[in-house]
Amino acid sequence: MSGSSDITQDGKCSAVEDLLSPYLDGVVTPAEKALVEEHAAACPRCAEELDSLRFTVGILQKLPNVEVPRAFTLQAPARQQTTLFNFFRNASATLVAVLLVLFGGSLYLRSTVPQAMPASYSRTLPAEEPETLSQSGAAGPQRLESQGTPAVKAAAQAPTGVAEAPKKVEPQRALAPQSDAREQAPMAAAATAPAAVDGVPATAQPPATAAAPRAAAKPSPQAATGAERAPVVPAEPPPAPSSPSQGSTPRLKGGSAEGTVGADTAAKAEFAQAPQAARQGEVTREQDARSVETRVTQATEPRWPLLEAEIGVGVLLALCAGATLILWARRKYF
Amino acid sequence: MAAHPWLLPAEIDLVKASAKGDTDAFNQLVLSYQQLVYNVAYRMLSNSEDAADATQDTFISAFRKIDSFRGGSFKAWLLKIVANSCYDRLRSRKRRPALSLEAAMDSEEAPIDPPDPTIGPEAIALKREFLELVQRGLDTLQGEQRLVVILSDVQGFSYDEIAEITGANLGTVKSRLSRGRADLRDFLKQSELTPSRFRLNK
Repeated sequence: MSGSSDITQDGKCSAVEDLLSPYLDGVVTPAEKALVEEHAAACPRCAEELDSLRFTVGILQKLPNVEVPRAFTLQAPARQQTTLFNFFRNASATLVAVLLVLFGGSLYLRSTVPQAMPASYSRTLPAEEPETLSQSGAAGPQRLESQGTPAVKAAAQAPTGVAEAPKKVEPQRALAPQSDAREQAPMAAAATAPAAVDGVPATAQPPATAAAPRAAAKPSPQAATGAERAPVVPAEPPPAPSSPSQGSTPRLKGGSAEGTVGADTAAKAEFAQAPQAARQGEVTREQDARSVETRVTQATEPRWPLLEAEIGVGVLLALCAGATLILWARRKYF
Repeated sequence: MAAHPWLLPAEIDLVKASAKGDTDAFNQLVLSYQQLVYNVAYRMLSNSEDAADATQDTFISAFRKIDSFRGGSFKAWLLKIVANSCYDRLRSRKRRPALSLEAAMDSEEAPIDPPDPTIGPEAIALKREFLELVQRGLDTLQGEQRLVVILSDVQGFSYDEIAEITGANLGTVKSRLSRGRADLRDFLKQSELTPSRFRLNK
């Protein structure tokens, strides 16, 4: 070719130069392929370009595969997450079980609450005393208060023997005679040991079963007086202010004075009168029982036991369940 | 030149299991692809430590993101992650001018496959030196060109596969490859190690 074609050659060279690389990869059109081959045959510079390019690609292809310095498998991050997730998941499950156990315990304790609430009971007692005690003709409220707790305890036990009298009513009735009976107990014991032992509860009970709460307050020595009043008492179930005062003084006096003698006869008299008084007093007693019962139920409103523990466990459970959920979400949607 | 089958049926189950958080299933994928990923990273970064870090980051990131893998080539998806990891490291290298290219490169070429028994130790040493030269030459290339050259000539991917990995169109792939090869050729021409007929000074 003549020198005048150098310009065209240069023009061609640059055009071909861009095609050299695709040509080596065989991604050129047939026309382009022909162009490159034709030009390379004629142009030494472009031929050399093609040659050196081919060598470079060859060298790159011969670059050896490098060995991995170690395995790149995942361990620590995933495992750590799993362990934490597992911990909170297990903690949540355990807390659910604990909560259920507490709940069961609450239900169980709740059903046995009424017998197990002496504290609140004695608290309410002084308030009710004037009424009930006036009915029963018990000794001064002070005396009863001081002996309230032991009396209540004894009273709680006292009614067990009696079939009819409601538990809640019994203690009240038994309270007064009990306090008196305590006074007379040593004396009664002196008189008749077994009788006294039985007599104490017996004294409490027959008077309790006797007509009115008032009558129940009268201890054995007062049996006679009590018997006298038994008919009177049913007639007037509502507390009469006069009666307590009436009852208290004579009873007190009678109690101390007639203690020894009264114990025996009183017991017998009481037993004799018991059925009578019982019949008479039953109606009134029932009426009183109901009113007392409501008062007592109100007084010993049973709390939900273990509530604080349940709340605590519930809060812990919410936290653990929340943590479990967060970790689960992180694992899944990282 | 190695052939790379694009989508293996057995992989689909492993990918699905991995998406559910099964690290054992994912680790099987790791073992399958770690050589490829590490080599691409090594050729990109010229440094075995950086390459190891990039590889680990790639697999950790892949496990986290595997939920978002919507099918297609898992290999291409994985290589895209390592490519981005390498780009990030190259950018941060530039921000630290004190670190020269020489320092960034390994002092020695990384351990390779058993050397050719047909040539003598001198030839092996020469060869090793030459291979180091080639790696230095790769290091002079622009990031995008370097990646395309590595994927095409070192790893044997086709233009279409490279387009899928890089997310670029065919024309861009063609021009990047052409430019990268030419620049590397020009670098090699300056060295005595290059065969005389290709050298600038003959």
